[in-house]
Amino acid sequence: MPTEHGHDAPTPAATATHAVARPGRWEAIRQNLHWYAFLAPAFLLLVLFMAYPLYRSFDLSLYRWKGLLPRRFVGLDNFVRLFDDRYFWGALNHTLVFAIAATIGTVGLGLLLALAISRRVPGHSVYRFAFYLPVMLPMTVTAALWVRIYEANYGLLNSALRAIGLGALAQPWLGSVDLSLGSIITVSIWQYCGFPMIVLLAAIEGISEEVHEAATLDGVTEWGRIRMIIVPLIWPVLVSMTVIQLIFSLKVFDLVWVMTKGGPAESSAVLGTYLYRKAFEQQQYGYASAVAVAMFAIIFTVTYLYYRLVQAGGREN
Amino acid sequence: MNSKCVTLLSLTAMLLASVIALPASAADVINLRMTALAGNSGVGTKAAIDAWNKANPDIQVNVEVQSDETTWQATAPTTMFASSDGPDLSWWWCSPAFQYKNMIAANMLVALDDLYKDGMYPQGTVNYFTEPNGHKYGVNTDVVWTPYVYYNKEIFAKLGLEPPKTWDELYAVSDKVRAAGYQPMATLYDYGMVNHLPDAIMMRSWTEDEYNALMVNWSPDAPADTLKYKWTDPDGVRIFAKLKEMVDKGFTADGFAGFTDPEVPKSLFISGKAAMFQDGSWSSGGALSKAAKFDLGYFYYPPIQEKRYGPVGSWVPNCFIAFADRPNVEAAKKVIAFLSSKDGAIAYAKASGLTIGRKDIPADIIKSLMSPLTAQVVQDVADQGAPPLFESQVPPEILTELKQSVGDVLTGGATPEQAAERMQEAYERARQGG
Repeated sequence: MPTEHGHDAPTPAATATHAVARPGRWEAIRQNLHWYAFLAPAFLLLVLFMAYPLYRSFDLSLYRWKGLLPRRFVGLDNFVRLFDDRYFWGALNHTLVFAIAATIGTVGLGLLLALAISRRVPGHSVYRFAFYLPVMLPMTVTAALWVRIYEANYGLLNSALRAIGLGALAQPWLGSVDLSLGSIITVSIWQYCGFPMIVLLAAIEGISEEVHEAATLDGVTEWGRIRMIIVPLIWPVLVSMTVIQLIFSLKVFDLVWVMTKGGPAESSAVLGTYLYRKAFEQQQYGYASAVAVAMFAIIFTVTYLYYRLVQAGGREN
Repeated sequence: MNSKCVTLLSLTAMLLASVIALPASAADVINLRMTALAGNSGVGTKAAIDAWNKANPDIQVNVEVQSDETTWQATAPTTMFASSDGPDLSWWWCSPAFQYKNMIAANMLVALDDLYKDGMYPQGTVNYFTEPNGHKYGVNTDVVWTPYVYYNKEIFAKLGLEPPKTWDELYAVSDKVRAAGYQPMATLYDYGMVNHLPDAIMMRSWTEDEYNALMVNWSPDAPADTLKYKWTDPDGVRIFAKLKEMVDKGFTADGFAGFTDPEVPKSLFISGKAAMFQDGSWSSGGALSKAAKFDLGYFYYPPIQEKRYGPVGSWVPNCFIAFADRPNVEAAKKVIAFLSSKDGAIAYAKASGLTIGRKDIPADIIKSLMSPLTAQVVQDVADQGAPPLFESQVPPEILTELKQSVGDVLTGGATPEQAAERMQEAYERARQGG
């Protein structure tokens, strides 16, 4: 039975024969040794730089240790302390807010930009490049730049607001406990919305022109085209982008560290900055490891739940 | 033998000679690695090491200046210093908050007792560096004091202002400065606002006895008679209340809590947009005075009670250390012996603009190395004294609690009473070994 690729598809009889002749596990491994050789470097790197440090973090979280002197076993005491630590809960709350807002903002804005550019608006190739440009900037450069833009007295943002008569809106963007986290989230969205844009744009442009033409003939509106054609067809890519962005945002550290160091008064502290301060500024390596383990568990759980939720939604669709 | 052959033989002979000679000369020279902080101290260290390298071809030191202060001070002891292939010696902050005590306890540092000679350092410095086991593991490089309020003399003159002597005058100055379109006082949030400023207020709100007691009574070994003093006493609560008052009365620049990049408050001052800048004595002779295109003056925060315990606090932990687990410990000690000698100290001070920690260098030499502003700062300290800074004595968990409590008070997240209670709880936890 020829397929579209020109190969013969297996017949039911052939499949049955194949099943009978199926080799044992070891035999299968032996037959695929060359593929395992390809996987081996990545696997080794994962074990060395992910699994082993993770194990060490968990191990260390059971001790009290200042980094240099002998450590003392304290069992689950560090985790018990976490529950009573209001700064930990604050940092966790900020991390979740950051992750949700940055993911919605980045992927949402990226989708809107991709939709607009896919309609071949005049200058679309310039927009595509311009919106992607911030993604290529190093995070620390972006952060240092925005610290100056946000500066309350003579920063570009407040100066611009004053110049156009909107001085009342000028704020201490990074110096206010109410605004600091939101200001950082805005920078994150600004910098990274270009990435989902470029990926989603590729997915949108991969949709067959015939589908669009059929929709046009059927009199489908632009909104209907987006809702009923584009989004369902790029759904797997959209889900992947959302999950990637969510994981990326839950791990946020550098942007916050450079812009506010988690301040003022811990109002923008996230788990990453909290962990750093505990380990390196306060020399509580055991406790910081407990934060790291909690952070891993939270990221894993949130990502897994979200992925399952979206998968279930996708199947229903 | 033709000329080609002679040339070839000569070249071969030269090559052989160089191959034989190279390892011999390389083996004679000891190469040491040294780390230092960027900025004034890095400049000073490099200048002193240059003098050493010129005079000592058999021991050459390469100074690796660390640009990122915050990351380096936080991570170096457990990473590059603890590593067997780490530096042989370093410039460092020898205080509990920067793992100095832990490095000693972990036997990472070499005892430098023999580098101390009678009359070389003030007794306070000697006491600071003498550990309970009687040994000294660091040699002081310079002394700095903090905080000073530097002001733009041109703005003050234009507005008819004088450096304030009372708190009412201080707030009146900031009102006039604001009314004229300038920001009042700019400083780095993480150090200036929640660390150096509380230090200054402590010296003014606490009595000498209270200050000395609360400097040590977080320790499980604190003398019993110090335990009667608490953060929750009225003088302790007043520290937080005064800090809040300074913010509420508009003395701090707008958005002060967002100044996490040291260049931001500094540039506000240098560019003439803020009239005052709070920093340490290092700014009196360093980059700040060079960058400012106007005359700089300084003043101290006014007293809160009748007798304040010094106008500023002193920081002596800046020091040189040598690491024990290294192949060339004796060579490293020789280098530190030079750095702490009169010649080394003068080379360091001349390049860095920092104040020499030794007391046996003639006053006229010291004066010739300083800017007029630094000379005045030194004279003030000689006249009025400067107690050790709180931050040079307490462990990192206490310092962190102080910064967080002050931050909460300044941004409205806690009352002065709540902040004082939290400090007292942190002390009690520390006393119980937590």
